[in-house]
Amino acid sequence: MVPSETALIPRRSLHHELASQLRDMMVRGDLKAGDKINEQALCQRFGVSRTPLREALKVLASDGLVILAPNRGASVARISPGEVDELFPIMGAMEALAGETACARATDADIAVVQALHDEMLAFYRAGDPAGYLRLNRQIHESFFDIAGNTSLTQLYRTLMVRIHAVRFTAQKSMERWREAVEDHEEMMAALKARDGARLGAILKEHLRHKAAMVLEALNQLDSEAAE
Amino acid sequence: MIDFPIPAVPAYSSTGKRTGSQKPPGKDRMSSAPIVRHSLHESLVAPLREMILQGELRPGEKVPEEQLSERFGVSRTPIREALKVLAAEGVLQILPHRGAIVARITEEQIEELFPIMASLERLAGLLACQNATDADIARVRALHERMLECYASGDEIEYLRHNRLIHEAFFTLAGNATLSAFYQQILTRIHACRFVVRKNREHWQAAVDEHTQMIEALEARDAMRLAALLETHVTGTTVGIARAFIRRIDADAAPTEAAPAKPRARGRRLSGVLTD
Repeated sequence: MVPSETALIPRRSLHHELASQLRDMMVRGDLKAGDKINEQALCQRFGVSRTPLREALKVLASDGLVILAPNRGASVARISPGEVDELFPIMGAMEALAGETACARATDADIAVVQALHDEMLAFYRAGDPAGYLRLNRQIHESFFDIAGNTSLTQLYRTLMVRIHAVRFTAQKSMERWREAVEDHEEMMAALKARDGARLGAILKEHLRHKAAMVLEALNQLDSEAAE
Repeated sequence: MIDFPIPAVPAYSSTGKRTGSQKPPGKDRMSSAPIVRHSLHESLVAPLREMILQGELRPGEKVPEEQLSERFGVSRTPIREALKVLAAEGVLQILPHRGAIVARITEEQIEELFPIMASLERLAGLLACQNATDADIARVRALHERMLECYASGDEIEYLRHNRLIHEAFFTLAGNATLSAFYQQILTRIHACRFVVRKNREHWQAAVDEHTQMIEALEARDAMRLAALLETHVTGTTVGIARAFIRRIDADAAPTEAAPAKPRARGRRLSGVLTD
């Protein structure tokens, strides 16, 4: 292998690895929405210099997870309750349309793929692993858009995701909310298998309403914590 | 009768920045007049848009800059500036060294974009019913009555303008800036075949009937009904009009029966594949 290539790979993977670690910290709640990011402390914790850390923060900023303010450093992105009210109903409408279209278009192989993702997600749920659960959860929602195959719809969804994304990590689910979400997903899977588009659409809208409620709860909790 | 001009600039910021969500839904937003600008090219945008909507400039056709500058009594520079504005909206395509061509929409794009449009309108209808004041509803009713008058007198241009204002009113009343931004984004792309002059009486009558049901649902504040009506209006009648429109354009553009479609299709490649 050419030396220059081997030199490039670890450097690239370092900041990606850091970004992934920071994401996990957000999922676990070690980094909370709205928190200022202490670069020095993180450098010490991970034993890295500031350059890769800043690269990692840029990656997270492009995902909408981190806000980079000039001369003020980075902070964990935070969505306002107003934005939740504004964006989640649109998200619900987009997901419902994706679900309806997906039911009309899904092949048996498509459904098997979603079923596998669903099973894997359930395994993370049973193991109490929120990071793994969220990753699979996201893949399942994206798979509806993939199967629907409507490029413009997917593009609008992504626009919303970037703005909503931050919130997924602020929402520390209660076990009860988490169980509700899993039940929603069980119903989605059943509707997809039955190719019942109207039903899948309705479940997705309801699911997004649940998500919005969960996020608003989490935001309220953050506010009351901040007030203490 | 109160008249609401179509704003030349959408009432939201294109960056998705929320400008309206802070304000409660109310009469001032619906009746506020757009800022009037007097630059020459901007005053050309509206008549050019009307020419496209009226079918004077047809999808796939080259925009005759010289004729336009004669017609409006201006030089080519402001015409070109106006064409750039319309190109940014997706109404025209500007081709290097070849000038502007009126954008075409394909059947595939209709299949892709109208369902999105329908789901956005559905949500707008739901939210509008929840937010509308009595005064808001009276304003939409007034627009509807005016639209019916235009229908009765066969004034398609004014009919379409009011039709568009009614749909936009639902989004304004919904008070969701991102939803409005998405609507404008999709509308721009299907502009070429929504709000177009329609020749088919049946389609037109169906659209008018649906609009009457919509205003009744709004007046009854029946959110689910308005939402369902808007959805079926867009996925049914509106998409039917759009399909009929592009087929007509396609048929008009097709060579005489003696000539096969193939050589012609090559020439139309840039403006969208419509040979099916």
